[in-house]
Amino acid sequence: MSFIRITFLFLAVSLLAETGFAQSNTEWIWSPEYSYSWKSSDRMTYSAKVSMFNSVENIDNRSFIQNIEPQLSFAYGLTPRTKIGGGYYYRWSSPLLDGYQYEHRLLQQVGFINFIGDRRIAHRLRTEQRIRSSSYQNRVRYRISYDFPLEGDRLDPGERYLIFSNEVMSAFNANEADAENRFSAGLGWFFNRQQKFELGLQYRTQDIFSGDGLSHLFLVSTSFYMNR
Amino acid sequence: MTLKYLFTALLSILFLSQVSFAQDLKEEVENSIDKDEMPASALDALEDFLEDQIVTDANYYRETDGETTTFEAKLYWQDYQYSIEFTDEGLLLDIEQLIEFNEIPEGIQGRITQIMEEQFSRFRMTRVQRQYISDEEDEDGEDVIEDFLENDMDDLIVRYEIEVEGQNRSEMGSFEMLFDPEGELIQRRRIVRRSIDNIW
Repeated sequence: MSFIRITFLFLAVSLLAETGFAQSNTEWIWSPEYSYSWKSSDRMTYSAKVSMFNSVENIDNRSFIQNIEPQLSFAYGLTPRTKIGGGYYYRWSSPLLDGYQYEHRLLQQVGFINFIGDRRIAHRLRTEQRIRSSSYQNRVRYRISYDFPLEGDRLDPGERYLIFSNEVMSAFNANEADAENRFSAGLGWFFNRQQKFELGLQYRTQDIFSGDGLSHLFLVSTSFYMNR
Repeated sequence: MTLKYLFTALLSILFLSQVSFAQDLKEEVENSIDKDEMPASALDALEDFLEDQIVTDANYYRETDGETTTFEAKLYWQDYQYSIEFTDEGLLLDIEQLIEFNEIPEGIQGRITQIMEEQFSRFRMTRVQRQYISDEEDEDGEDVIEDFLENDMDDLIVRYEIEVEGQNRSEMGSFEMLFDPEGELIQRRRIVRRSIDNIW
């Protein structure tokens, strides 16, 4: 794919985002993320991650950091293409404000990855239990991701790649249920097999079943991945 | 304002750490190149393929692991995909032809399958290539392409390079297995795949 095509793609996504920005029920978020993964065997992989949710509109006040989320997870390879795993997330909401809230999250997931040369299509099904200071919620999520090198058939160190994904999810508890869709497009820099960086834009369509109209969230992510 | 400084500092640390780590590592890199960047003797050797319109279109690559550099021409001919690899001096290393496993002679298929079953409890072949290399009399590989085009297999050594996803009690992953003309295992190498931490 040529650079012009990529630029066009990002312009199109930006225009879509601009349209959404004009609406009152739209949020803009910057989410930096740092991830470190390591293998203890061919089958077992562990991952530690910390991410933040920062409200762009509140960059000059203490509501800027909406939450900080440290995460620990593991994956066990059933086959070279199929993994199961689980993890624990802790969410610390509004850390700069008095009366902050927390959330404990447990997750279970299964994933299948298909390789077409150095192109990858990944499917992931995840269930979550979110235990908040004031409520409990279950969530079921399915995500499909596709990433591919931009230069040639193989992704070599120093080259870039594109990644697209779409995730649908349903959140529910005894009293209510809702759904959300997340579409993401990202550009990645593959420094080497141990390090990569991704710049992404995600569009979330939220409150699909709420009856009060959709809300929209645009998330710019800057993710740095390290692994050994 | 303090927040802005904090995030600027965090981002700076992140990028600086990236730069310092990146300098310590060495990896294979394949770059697409123009035809005229190929060694002249490699182009001479390819002449048999490229002249007379046998093949009109080929892609050229330079591959380096920081110590050695090789050159490769990838082309399609008679419904097969070929990659022809040369040293940096233009000496031919091998011709690789992408095939289906069932194109290997049956007796050799049987021996390869038997070895795979000894190595892995479960396996799946993902890529099979027939490899043509020069015999002992043609040390510099000068006649490999000519012999190949003339189907003169007596002067060539045929080997099989098979990529397989396999697992057994102690290991699981992707492997490159090289078999000799009788289907005996010569070499087994692990293929290191990219981490899936961004799509899992």
